[in-house]
Amino acid sequence: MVNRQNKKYWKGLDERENSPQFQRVAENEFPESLPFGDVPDSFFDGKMSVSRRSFLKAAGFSVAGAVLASCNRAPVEKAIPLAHAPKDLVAGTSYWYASTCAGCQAGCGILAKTRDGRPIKIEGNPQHPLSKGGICAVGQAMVLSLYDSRRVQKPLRRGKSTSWRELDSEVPSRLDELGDDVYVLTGTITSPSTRAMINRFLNRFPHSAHVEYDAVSYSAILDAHEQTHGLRLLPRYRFDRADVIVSFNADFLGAWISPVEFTKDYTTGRNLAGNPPRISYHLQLEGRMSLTGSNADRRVKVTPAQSTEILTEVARNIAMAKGVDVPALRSKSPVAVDAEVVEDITGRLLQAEGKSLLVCGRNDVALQRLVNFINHALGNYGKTLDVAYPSYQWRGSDRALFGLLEKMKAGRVKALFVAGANPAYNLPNATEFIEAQQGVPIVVTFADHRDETATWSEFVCPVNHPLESWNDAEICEGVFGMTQPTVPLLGDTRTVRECLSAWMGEKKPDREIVEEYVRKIVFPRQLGSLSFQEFWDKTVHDGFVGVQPRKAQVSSFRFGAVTAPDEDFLTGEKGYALELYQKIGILDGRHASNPWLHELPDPVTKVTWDNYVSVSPALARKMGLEEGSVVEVSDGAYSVELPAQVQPGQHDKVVAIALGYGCKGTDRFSRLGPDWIEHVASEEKLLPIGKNAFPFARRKGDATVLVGSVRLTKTGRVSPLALTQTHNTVTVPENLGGEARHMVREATLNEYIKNPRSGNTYEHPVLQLWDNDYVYEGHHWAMAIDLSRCTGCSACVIGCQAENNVAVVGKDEVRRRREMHWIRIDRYYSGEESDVTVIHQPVMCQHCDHAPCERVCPVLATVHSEEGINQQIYNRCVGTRYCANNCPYKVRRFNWFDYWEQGRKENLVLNPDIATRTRGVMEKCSLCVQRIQEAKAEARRQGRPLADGDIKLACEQSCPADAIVFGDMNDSKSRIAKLIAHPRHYRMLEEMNFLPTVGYLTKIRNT
Amino acid sequence: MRFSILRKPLIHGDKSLAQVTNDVARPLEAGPTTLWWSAFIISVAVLILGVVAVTYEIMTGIGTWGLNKTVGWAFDITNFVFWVGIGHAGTLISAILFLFRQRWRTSINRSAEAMTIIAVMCAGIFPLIHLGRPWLFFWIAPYPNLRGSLWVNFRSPLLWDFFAISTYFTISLVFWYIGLIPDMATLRDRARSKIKKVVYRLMSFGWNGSTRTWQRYEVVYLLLAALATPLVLSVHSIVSMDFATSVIPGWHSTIFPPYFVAGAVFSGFAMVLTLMIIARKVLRYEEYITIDHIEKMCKIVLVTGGIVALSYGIEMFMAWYSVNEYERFVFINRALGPYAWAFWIMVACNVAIPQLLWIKKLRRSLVTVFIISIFINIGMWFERFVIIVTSLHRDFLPSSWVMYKPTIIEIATLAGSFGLFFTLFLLFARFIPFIAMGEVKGVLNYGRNTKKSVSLSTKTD
Repeated sequence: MVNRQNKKYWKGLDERENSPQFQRVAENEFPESLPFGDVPDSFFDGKMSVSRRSFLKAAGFSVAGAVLASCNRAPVEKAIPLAHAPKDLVAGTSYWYASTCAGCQAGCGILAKTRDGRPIKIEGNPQHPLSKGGICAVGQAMVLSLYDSRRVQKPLRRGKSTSWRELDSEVPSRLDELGDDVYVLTGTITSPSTRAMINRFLNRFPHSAHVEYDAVSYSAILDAHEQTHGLRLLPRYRFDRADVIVSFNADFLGAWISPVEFTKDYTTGRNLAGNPPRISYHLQLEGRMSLTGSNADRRVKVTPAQSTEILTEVARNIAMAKGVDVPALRSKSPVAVDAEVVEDITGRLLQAEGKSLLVCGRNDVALQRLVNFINHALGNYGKTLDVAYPSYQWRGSDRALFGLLEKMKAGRVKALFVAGANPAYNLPNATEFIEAQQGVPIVVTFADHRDETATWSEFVCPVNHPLESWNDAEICEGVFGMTQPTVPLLGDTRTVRECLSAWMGEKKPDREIVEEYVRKIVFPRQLGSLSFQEFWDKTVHDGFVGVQPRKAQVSSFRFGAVTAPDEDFLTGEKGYALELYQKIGILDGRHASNPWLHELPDPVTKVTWDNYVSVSPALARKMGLEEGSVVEVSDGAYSVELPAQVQPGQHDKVVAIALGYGCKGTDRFSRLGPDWIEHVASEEKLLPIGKNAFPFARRKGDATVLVGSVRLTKTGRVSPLALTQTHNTVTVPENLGGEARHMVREATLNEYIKNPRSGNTYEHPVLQLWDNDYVYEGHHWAMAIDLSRCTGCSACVIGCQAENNVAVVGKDEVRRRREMHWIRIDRYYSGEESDVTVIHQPVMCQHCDHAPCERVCPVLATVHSEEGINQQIYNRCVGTRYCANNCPYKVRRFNWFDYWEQGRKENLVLNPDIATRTRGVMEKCSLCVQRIQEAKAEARRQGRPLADGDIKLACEQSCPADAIVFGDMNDSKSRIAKLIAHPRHYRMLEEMNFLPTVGYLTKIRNT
Repeated sequence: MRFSILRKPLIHGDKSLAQVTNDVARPLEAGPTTLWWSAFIISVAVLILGVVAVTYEIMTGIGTWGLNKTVGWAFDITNFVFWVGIGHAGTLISAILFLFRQRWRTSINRSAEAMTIIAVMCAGIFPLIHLGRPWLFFWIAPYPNLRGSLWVNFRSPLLWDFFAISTYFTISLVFWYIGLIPDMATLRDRARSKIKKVVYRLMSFGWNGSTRTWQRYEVVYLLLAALATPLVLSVHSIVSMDFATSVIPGWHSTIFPPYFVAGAVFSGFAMVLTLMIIARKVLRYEEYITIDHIEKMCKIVLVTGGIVALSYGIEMFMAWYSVNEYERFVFINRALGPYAWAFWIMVACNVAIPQLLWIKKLRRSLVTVFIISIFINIGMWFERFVIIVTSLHRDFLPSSWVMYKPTIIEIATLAGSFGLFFTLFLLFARFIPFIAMGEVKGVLNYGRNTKKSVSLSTKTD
């Protein structure tokens, strides 16, 4: 104690020494005479010489200053939290990660662009062996669903939030109690590691199975191959190798199996560059007008029954021609079908043996066996379709699904795990499923939304978005795709693999599971001789890897399996055949919560935000229907009321309805759009978008066929469709002159071979007042769009929307013709309304060198760049709309309202390179000027001139058909310069002398 | 001055100078009538409706109008051109007829000019409110600014519009006001209440009625008339260039400037007729605005209506003669397409119905002329609607063809502009001499027997 008292603390040596100087300073620690700038001392000494006047002045100034300062909203500084930033990550720079698309099971290669830690754009991976850089609308829209605010963020138990910990103890213990009869019901799982995990999980239970099914099923193709080739597989179709393509109802450019891969291949097989040009002949037989049908060289309208008959007849003719004796085809006497069509098909197929391909979109095993027979008889196997190295994109089995449903009904299922599927919505007999699953003690659903199935299940496990996950995918034999996360988990979610691993007591991180699978199973099959780490790095870096393919041991063709197809959907006097199809974008409903895809116009009908009954013009007249007249469609057991859409080129006995609508959760879109006095909600009550058409599908043998027969009743009500194009031909109405315009130009292949300029001879003298009135010294950007390649798939529309922050406006605004898309696909019909030919023409700002819009803007908000780009300056625009009026191509889009809402999670998808536009401002295609600038900066950084192809615009990169080419027309060696010089090249409204830099190449049809 | 005794007097009823003053000042000095109040309340109510509509539109967005991706202008610019056109009669009457020594103009020039100014005000609102961001309207003006070196686009007809309309409004206002000064002095001299006296004194700029004042006044008036005359032609020519210099078929046409000017005078006179026929009755000015005045205006209507009809014909002919498929289509589409009803309303109202005015009996019948003038007003509004909407809604690319339908907001805005017009016109009739006393007094002798005549002096009494 004494010691402590004596202990002396000191702050510094000065204090310790206690020098006089220190004492002086210490006493004077708070001096009174600190200088206050040049304020007179008298101010502080009490004798204030400050007058009341100057005090008030000062006070007034301070108040005014404070008020002024507070008038301006203080800038909000947002820091980017990167607590564990990779060392070379630079804020504001884009990073690209290769991955595999999970928009559907086709598994195209993608590159995900991330900025500041969040993915903002998905593009095709040019190195990918299947998709080769193409990507469809769905794939590109996937990035929006990542930021969907309605995604389930936490595990749910009976609809209430719970924790993974609870699930991890509850589910295994409940399973242990039950001990048996555990089933996993999924969509096709292309991921081998997930499949392996599911199998491992199920192996612990004696009676268990993994059932895969697809809502829009290809089961019949696989089953037919099992019967004819001995192995249940999906062949890999090679449309690029086929000279003759015959498609029965297969929308292979739109939504059938692997549309991007097929579009790539299809356009590769239609190459005009060769000498003589090699261009495949495509014949489509269908009842409705599909995207594929709209591209066909010959399109034959058939009912489902007729297509069965024609297919049978073709098979019979080919059997006869090839001298193959198939008893099944021998026995049936020829039926009355259009002999000319049959002869045409048979003749063309026989001319192109081994170079032809016949596909059928009907999920009917008997028909698929016939298809297999024809392809076999023509020697196409191994050439235009491959069973030795098959595709793994779809392998759902309807038979297995039916079996599971039977077991459920019989109460022999104790636990059901549903992943990547929504059976309570997309099974034709969904109500039966819902009833049956109520008898299942444990139902666990892996879902990202509270969809129909999730609503009914006890446990809902929220799953990662593909952009948040590690994953793998075996898309076809020998191609192993890799998925890597591009963003940390946004919610408390897991993959199926992780859950199952946790419930087996392993609880391994997802990446470890995938890596382990790759190490054990994939790495040994590598083609090179890399170490595992190198192999892994390369696979992740490239997004895919080629591995040693294993040849499938198919048996020789079993002719015995071929039988004539039985009963078909014959239509009675009042009945109509119903064709159910997948609309591009929405597909089977899995993307129904994505507003970009709802607002994407159907490539053929140009309808957004709804499904509808497509009827032929003749039928519409007969029933007194107009576009939008509400019709009740009923097959006796199920009925829906939908607006009618009059579809030229549709069979009079066929009606068509898109699947994937009426999904739970889409009611949130029914009031989408600006709220104002005349705003009309798409539904009076909060109802889902469109109606579910899956209940019309029916079981035929071992497969679900998307064909039905229905009756139509006119209700008398009208529900206007949200159309983006209301006049369908380049011909003006007959009573108004009936002349044809020259927006689109086309010729047949024969004409083209004779004269490459044919179809492109519409000429008008164009005189210039001044020669070279402006010389573009540096770059002169231009674009050419090949109408022969463009299939109208609309991938570019979504590509542009994602790149340029194009707003979604909602159904009401589209009905008012105010959609905002910067690129649209004009679709024109020609010919008779019953037998139309179709042409698709993408139209965006044409970047005229004599731009009519630039001249009329009073405030110079739209001006021409030195590189030939027509630029729109949003913050200068006052919104006179004169430019839009004066635009001959009507590509300018006006912000009628404030379409953007702040504070939405979905806004995370916005491209930070582009401003969102406020109301009252005009906007339009900028030729992705940000990409041009980025490429220029990059070239400068690398100290090299900009090369042709360095810049890929958003529409160009997404195009699976490579129809869009962008470049510098001042560079004589560039692709664009060559295309401009091409005899097929023309510009829209050339004769008006607007000098657009966007041009088109005539469409060449092989007819 | 000597006048032929064969000429009919311009002013009936053997008015003395004092009588003229009394007659003109009477409505101003008496209190407002019930009729005036009811008209005023209705007008203000309609105006308020318009103000609500415009406020809503500015707060919510142009989307509250029925416009779309293809039709970017419809009611807004239709109303604008309509009102500018209405304005033309006033300036024509006060300036051109003045220069041509058409002395009958004196009975109507004041009110017609007031109509001009009010109509131009109504017109001027539309270019402002039709902007997507109306709060930035001043960007259209070329003024030195701190936004870099941003300047306006002198090639844009909208900019020319800005100059043309503002110049026109300024000159019209000044011209009208200069003509008003002697009358203001008269009112000042007659005013009993102190406030009125002060106000009229201020407004009469110290007018003392001296010969020198009168002489300067006449010189200024003549000069302003000479200045205003080219404006009559230029304003609507420039308005027409909004369309004529564009590339849209149906707009791109060299005939537009004369065609628009004639149309403007046509519609303006129709509006003057509508207003005068009511005003002369209500204000008991039958002896000042006589049936001869009405007939003379009807003749102008006939002439300008003839020019308009001829222009329609020439447009049609040129569309056919040009062999331009787009041009041809636009005109066929106008006549037979989905907006054919609007086209035929226009033809019926502007071409067919005015032909009745060839019949002397009809053009001297107030009821007939009134009805015809209403039809012409309707027809001329539709003319602008037809030009704007039918040209836009189906232009070059059939893929972009659409239909346009107005919303209630647009209809309320149109109604509101009429509300504004009548509100201001009623106020004018209440507070400002409806007839230019000073000028009318100068023509009292016209056509009269000089022996019986009053002094030729135009001096105020």
